Amino acid sequence: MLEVISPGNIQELQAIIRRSDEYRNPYYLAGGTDLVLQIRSRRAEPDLLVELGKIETLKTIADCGENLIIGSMATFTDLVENQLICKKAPVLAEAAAQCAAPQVRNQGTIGGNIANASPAADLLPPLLALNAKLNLLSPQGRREVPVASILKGVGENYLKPLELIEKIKVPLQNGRGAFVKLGIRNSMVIARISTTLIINENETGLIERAAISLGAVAPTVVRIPEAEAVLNGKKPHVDLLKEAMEIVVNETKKYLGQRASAPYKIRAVRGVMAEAFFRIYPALMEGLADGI
Amino acid sequence: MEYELNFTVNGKKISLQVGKTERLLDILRNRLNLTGAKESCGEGECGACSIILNGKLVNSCLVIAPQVQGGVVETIEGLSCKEAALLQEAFVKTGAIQCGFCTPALIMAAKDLLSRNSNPDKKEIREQIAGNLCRCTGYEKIVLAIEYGARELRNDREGVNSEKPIYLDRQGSGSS
Ligand SMILES: Cc1cc2nc3c(=O)[nH]c(=O)nc-3n(C[C@H](O)[C@H](O)[C@H](O)COP(=O)(O)OP(=O)(O)OC[C@H]3O[C@@H](n4cnc5c(N)ncnc54)[C@H](O)[C@@H]3O)c2cc1C
Ligand code: FES
Ligand code: FES
Repeated sequence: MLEVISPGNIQELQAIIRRSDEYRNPYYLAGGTDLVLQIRSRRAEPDLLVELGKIETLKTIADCGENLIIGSMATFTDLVENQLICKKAPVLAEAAAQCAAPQVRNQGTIGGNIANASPAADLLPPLLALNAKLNLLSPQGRREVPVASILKGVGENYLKPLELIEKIKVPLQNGRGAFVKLGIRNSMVIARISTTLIINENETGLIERAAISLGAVAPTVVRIPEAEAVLNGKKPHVDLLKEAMEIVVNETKKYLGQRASAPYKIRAVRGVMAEAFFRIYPALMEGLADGI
Repeated sequence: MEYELNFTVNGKKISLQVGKTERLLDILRNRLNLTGAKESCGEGECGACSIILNGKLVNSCLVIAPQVQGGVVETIEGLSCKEAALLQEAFVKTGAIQCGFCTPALIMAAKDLLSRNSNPDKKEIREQIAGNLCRCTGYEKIVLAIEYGARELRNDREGVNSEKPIYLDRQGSGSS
């Protein structure tokens, strides 16, 4: 028997979370753009559906100084249209704008995108590059963890049963950023390869913090710390960017191994990385693009 | 029959017994006989089932009953006579309809866009209909239809008589 509950606020939800051990296979239902299809194909067989759409506080987006606090029920459209996100974490808005088509953007949520843990989820590369954290709520109370720490594998996460992603805490982007994804068609493709690049420079023009993340090359979205380390503390120069790109490509090769799609994906990674660097350093990258 | 669903469809309050995971698309088509929303892919890819839920354009094949509880649904059947007439006429006059399967959803997508932007350009129209597939027309005429429909609706609101029809503006693309 399937039970359905639509709590009206967080207190009502907490009462349900406390009873989570009464269910074998409880699920949250956010926008449903992943879960409805999983239920229909019996890839998900819930005995409890907790529908989150009636909890207004999960839809808010707020500015808390150092961080933006995004409710897990904010939709792709909310992210695209929100002025705070567009100004203070523009790579996230950029990624949301390139997801799916208007219908799915109006319905799909950031919480669902994270929990669904697809290696091709478009909001994960920007969230990882921004060092975003999750505020989680479970029978044991609240905890705060980095987004990457709940990603387990393809479509799998480390959340406990009925552990709720309540809010996403996103540090301000500050520096320049680029989200680039390669798909066959712009609107409906679930990203084949996507990347987020963020570069923060200090007053003297040295790279203070570089963040590079890649989607769809490994079982989860990943950061490439080896390439970031090469950039950190250096003055941007075309040879430096080339070196960083080569490291990204080499790390990708390790992840992809002998998969049939590897040769294609390696070229694709080179392409999206070149585009991302070009977007941040157009003058330095001029001319290099032809050689990719 | 396990879930009591109360919601508003095209301005009318409705109470129904439905399945707990029954799709809005099936509720509309099978229980309310509102067959304007079509099923094609059933996976959110084609947009043929587009309707407006709580003011947002969504695919009704990806929405299940609990998400509709207490909500407000607008379907093609609920358009005002004027809106329906002008948008339909725009699609007919520009040749944007062939088999017509995609048309109700495209008109809902157009309505959604025009409610926010009464004078969209071609690029905005293309972005709005990016999730609506049409196997027949090749989209050019659909974009033209929405442009034309938008102008007719603006003119109607302002009480202006249309000048030269937009579907004849571009050589060779119009049919009458
Ligand atoms: C046609 C189509 C195109 C798509 N295109 C893209 C694309 O371009 N890019 C992309 O990234 N994705 C895409 N998707 C996938 C999907 O839309 C996204 O992953 C979306 O963000 C899922 O959010 P949702 O609210 O619909 O999640 P749901 O389907 O409601 O839930 C997904 C999973 O997350 C869990 N969950 C949801 N919210 C929470 C929460 N707050 N706390 C804990 N667990 C939770 C659910 O229990 C479920 O297991 C596409 C899907 C379709 C159907
Ligand atoms: S039938 Fe719903 S999107 Fe295709
Ligand atoms: S007119 Fe036939 S699918 Fe569009």
